Amino acid sequence: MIKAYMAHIETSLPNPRSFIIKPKVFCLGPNNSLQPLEPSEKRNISEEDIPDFDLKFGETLLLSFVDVASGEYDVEVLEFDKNNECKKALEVYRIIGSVNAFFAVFHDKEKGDKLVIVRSLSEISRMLDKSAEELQAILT
Amino acid sequence: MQTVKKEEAKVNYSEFLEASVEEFEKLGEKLRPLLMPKIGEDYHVYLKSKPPLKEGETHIAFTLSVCPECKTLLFARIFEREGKVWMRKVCPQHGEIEEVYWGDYQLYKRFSEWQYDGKGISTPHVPIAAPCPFNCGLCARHKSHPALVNLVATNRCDLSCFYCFFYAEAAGYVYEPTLNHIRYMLRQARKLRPYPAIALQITGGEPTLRDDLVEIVKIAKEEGFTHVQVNTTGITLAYNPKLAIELREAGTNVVYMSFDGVTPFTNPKNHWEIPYTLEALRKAKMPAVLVPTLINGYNTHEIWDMIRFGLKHIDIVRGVNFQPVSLVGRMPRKEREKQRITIPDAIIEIEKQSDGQVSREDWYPVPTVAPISHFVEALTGEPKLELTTHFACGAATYIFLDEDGSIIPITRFVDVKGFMEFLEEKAEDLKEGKSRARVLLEVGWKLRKFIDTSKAPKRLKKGRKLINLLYNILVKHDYSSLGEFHYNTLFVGMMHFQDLYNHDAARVQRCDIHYVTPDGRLVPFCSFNVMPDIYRDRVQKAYGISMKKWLELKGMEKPIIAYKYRRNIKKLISGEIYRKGYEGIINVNSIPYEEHVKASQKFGILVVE
Repeated sequence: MIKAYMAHIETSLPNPRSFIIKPKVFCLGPNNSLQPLEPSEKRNISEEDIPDFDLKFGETLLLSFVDVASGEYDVEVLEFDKNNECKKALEVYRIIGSVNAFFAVFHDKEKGDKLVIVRSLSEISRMLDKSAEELQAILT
Repeated sequence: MQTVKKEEAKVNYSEFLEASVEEFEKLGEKLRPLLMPKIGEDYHVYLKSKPPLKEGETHIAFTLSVCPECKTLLFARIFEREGKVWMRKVCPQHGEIEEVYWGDYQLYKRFSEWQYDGKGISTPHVPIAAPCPFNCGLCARHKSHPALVNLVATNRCDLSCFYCFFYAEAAGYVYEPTLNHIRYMLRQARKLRPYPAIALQITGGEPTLRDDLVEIVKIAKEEGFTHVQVNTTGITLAYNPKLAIELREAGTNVVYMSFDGVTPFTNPKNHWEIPYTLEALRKAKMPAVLVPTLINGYNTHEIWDMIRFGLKHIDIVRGVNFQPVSLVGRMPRKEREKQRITIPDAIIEIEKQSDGQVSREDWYPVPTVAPISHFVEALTGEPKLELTTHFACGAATYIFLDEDGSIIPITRFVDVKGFMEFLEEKAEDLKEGKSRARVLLEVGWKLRKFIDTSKAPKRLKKGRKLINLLYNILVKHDYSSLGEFHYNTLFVGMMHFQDLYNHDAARVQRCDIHYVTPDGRLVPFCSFNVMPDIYRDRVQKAYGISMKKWLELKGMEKPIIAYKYRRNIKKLISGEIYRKGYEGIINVNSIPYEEHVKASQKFGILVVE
């Protein structure tokens, strides 16, 4: 199962920062075609999501649930059915606020679902063999 | 070789005494996942509700903390009440826990303006698999790289202080990594990026009990540590000055020495030996930092005298680094209130006892100096050591001892705030591509704006001397200028290590003082020591060796307790070095011999004649 996060976060002391996090999730088809996936469930973030949340945002934004908890937040978890036939999937996050960035999480079921995190739009476009403009048009 | 029992993660260490660095690496990788804290067994998580705010309280922020009874991860509220900062958390099983977080709200507000976060760790040693702080090793969430790495060289100690549960006899095993094992651990610390560890503290137990301590210092230097300090009571060095010389020659930069007060009653650990240790260090040309643990009502009345003692020995003492007590173990609220002292409480006490010679305005939190790193990094294009701890973790100031004996804190002649803000701005200019030459010209030109030479110590007053020194330190990284600037200065610092009552995960994530563990992890100080059952003791026990086996291997016939230190007070206090060491600080003649003996014995150190 893929969990993606849609969020509005205003952290507080010791380091006040703000983030709007917008996810898009795709199934990666032949020739790296991107088929948008729809979530099967939406819910608020809970205790068991923390390691997954921290894994994705800790490495990329140095943002963990401890930071999130410090201030105001609205974090929605989007769950994508694990039974779908998608072998490779891609979570792409657009971040607006204290940091303006894109990053992506690659999922490959055949490789034991080990996550690969890619930290910039140019790296994502290189991995998908698409131009940054083409990719930006799909993602925004 | 059946050396690793999967379930209990225990090594038969006697089979590894001749093992290579590579074998320790393999072993570490195998054991590490087994030693990590486990949900349900070691900790729980309860984040369903937040602690309430009550009448008369002002909310500051939330954080995550743990229940001191059951280590359940909880929401904690940080708030102001009656001029103090508090933490409140509510455990579903153990109820509400409230604790003073910082003793002065005004200082908290001023310090909070100085938070700089680090760049994180790009080469973590453990994957993120659990919430912070139950995943320490370090993981990709961690925000600061290590400023100081601790290596426990042994858990043996020649003392048995009544409050300590760490030493070998109390633990029930000896933990003493071999030299190859130590080399592996140090390499793990050096692997960290973007900035590898460069400063090492060899600690214990009592590290000077190891016959091969000099060898360990040499290994640290070979592995690239540019700063090596030895954390000791100094007792061994008092009796063996040759060891101080050998340690210095091997590359030890400083001795970090326990020093809890100026009298036998506040410092029964090493009061009598300290003057002799300082004399040994003097001969070895080895600087010392005095490290008092502050306990409210126990030694806080001597806080200024401890600084005065440092100033008296300024030729060899480089700093006094206070550590407000971390209340380990379970303690009722009343007892905690009695013993608790926080950083601002200590700062205010120094202001009172020094009659304002060092005031609260003279102190800044540790991350204040981060702009210096940012500026040098932008200037050189190379990653630099950044001190990016949580603002509530530590504080510091520099005291200059002038020719006439007066004391001048650095803040009296340097506008620290303005200077740091200026450097941060110039670092940004460089990052944005502004001409290097132009920025340097501006730094050289505007530096004088932040310095009031008329208030500086006499030796720095002449012409542009002070400005030139600062420019050479910042821009040319000139060590002789740094040395000249620091001449006759005393660093006075505070580092408040946490406990389970005031524990704040936001502080843990920013910690820059770590322990390297025998399985190759780097664990923040306040996880390693605050939750010893799941960090320190678990991993050291796994690599430990039974007392019986250890004595057998070393060919020692008597039980380990027979090798404990016994003090000859009569001899120590009759020496000229002792009397001169405390001259002007205490009246040594006013303390009867019997009182000396009582103080030592009460603490747990036997006295012989």
